[in-house]
Amino acid sequence: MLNKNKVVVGMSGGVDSTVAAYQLKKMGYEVIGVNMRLWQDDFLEEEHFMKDGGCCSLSSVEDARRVCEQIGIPFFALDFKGVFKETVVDYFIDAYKNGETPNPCIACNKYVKFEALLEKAHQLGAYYVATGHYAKISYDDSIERYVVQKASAIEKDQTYALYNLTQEQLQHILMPLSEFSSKEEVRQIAAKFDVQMSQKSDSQEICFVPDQDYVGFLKRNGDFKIESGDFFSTEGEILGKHEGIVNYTIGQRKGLGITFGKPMYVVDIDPEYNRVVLGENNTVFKSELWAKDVNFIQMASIKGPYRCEAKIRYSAKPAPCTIEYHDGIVHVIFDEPQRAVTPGQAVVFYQDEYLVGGGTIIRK
Amino acid sequence: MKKIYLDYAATTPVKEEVVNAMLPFFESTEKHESLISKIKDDFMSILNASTGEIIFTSSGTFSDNTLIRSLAYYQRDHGKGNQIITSTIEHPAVYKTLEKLEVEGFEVVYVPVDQSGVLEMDLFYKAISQKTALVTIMMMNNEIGTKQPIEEIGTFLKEKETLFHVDAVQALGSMKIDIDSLHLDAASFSAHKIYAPKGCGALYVKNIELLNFSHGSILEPSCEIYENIPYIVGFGKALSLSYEHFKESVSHRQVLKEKLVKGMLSLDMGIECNGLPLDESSHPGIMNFYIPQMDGDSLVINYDFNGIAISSGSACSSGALSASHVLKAIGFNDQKAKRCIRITVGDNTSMDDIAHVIAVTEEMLKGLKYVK
Repeated sequence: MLNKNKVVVGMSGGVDSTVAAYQLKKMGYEVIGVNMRLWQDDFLEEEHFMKDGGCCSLSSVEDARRVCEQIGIPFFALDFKGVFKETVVDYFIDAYKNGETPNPCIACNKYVKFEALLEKAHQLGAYYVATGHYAKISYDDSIERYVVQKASAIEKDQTYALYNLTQEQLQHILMPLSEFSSKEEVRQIAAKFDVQMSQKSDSQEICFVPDQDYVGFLKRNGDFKIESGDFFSTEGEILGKHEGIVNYTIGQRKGLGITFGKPMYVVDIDPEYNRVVLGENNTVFKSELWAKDVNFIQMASIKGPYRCEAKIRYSAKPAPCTIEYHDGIVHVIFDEPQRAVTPGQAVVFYQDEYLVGGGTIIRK
Repeated sequence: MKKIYLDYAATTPVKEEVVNAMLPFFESTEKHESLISKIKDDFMSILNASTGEIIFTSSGTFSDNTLIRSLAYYQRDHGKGNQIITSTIEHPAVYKTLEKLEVEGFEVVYVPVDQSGVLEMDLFYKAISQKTALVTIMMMNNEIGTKQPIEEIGTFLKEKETLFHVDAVQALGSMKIDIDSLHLDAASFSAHKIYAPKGCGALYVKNIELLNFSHGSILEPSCEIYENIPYIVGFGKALSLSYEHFKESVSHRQVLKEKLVKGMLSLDMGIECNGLPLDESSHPGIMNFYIPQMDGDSLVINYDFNGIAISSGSACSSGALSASHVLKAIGFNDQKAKRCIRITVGDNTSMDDIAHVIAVTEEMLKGLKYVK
């Protein structure tokens, strides 16, 4: 019923998705370009979105349309605002409300790109959805599972944001940029298209907050009040006033608004009592963590202690650790203490180049 | 692949006679004042307006915007109220203008419609009061084709100080518009819905003093402006043609519409038809279907892959569609509203086209599960 030679590519108008679509077309796939309309923040519309802004900008639709025309594939702009709001934006707001630091890209991959867009692809008769992510997906006959490997362009590797995809999702995903050894190679291919994109900067961290002022975003869109509260020391003394817990993240030193005569860092955020706990450098290091919403790629689950490496944020170095999984919670014990273990961020496990799985770090 | 265009409510192809009428005027530098004034007279007589003025504009949207703003401010400036009454199913050209007026201090009352998309008249009467400055209601809805009770509204407002504007963009060429008997103060029209080019519209206003262009954004009519003569000529030609062939065009479309509606329903695939498609008073060409198997935007793409051009509602600037406010106004939830498509037939549509659409629909939906 679904055509295995047909693929829907999510097109942002940027370098990566353009080259992904172009490569698939060259490989003989029947490619359909789709620009996902995700978010509209009227407040920022005029200031930012008309520029070379995030992938939600109106100009991105026109760039994507032009690129598809040049590649010679049909193009459609489709509305995903509802699902994006429910699964990404609301989650983002709730996480800050709960004193966590969210990773919206992971939620977007799981629920929007590889669920809602995949559903659209199926409605259009396409077996596959493809994106410009840097990661390798393949099927391993020996374990009868789809597996994910780090991309050849290792500095662009995006497997961190893909740990929670299911086997069913992986079965229907193509990531044609996996074989490029550098972003430069991808840019060179992109340069042949008549759109000012090979010079475009890489995507911003949060596409729906193009001015990067997430606190302003929370004030406009959040359903809660940002209230000031007290800074505490790790010993429980009051050190001063903070401007609301959403302004802080674990490990932060700058922007605390007070000086202490020695470097102080955010070591804990307590949403229940609206407290921010500060400590010296050594208190920012933790040798264990717990995570929920765990997903394993390499295996259905793990039994007993399992040795692997873990990344506690996108830019972190994989660190050797032992993990154990009980009742939906994974307990991670690092060989060496890790700096700024941040609730809300993902902990992602690797076995060499292979993505083992991951979960969302919780406050214990 | 054979291409079938079934989105006439969005825009229409320019007719050959219209093109031919326009051609001589592109190279001319004359003002053709008497010709323009004759075209205006023709408009007035076709629309049966014994008094008032026709002014050509750049679009139906521009006409709506200029008229609504002018009339609202005129009334407010003359102490005749601050309230505007409209429906929940107006075109964005109207409701976006009203949203702006709300910000500027006007009170806008949105009167709901019933399940088939017809204004709830009892609620309309309840809403109207001494402070109602303006009533603006569309004649025929662009998404589901239902006709609004404008005769009743016009008669009711006849002796009152409240002004009455209609957005007649979809109605032009599809129903007889009799401005005198409707007691209209103002109406908006667009050329490209009746086989004339895009980029041309017209407005009718009973009393030219009501118009105040400073609330819109165009030049004072007294200024030296260069009119878009070929387009106005094209619009005039298209309007005369549409009235010459009015009966045959309407019945041609009604026959096709009935065939398509019955064909889609008889597929027995859970398809429903929204609005009152088979009602004599409805727009002769507009149909709106609920198709339970698939989202409207996916349907539009799948039809497109089969050479059939339709739409899933009124288009937005980015080309992506949110759930239609019209379908929500007739009681659909977001999910149901997103599973709807609009198909409109026109003068060039044939019986074969309709049979083809039904066959393609059947093929497309075959085997797909849906909740009854």
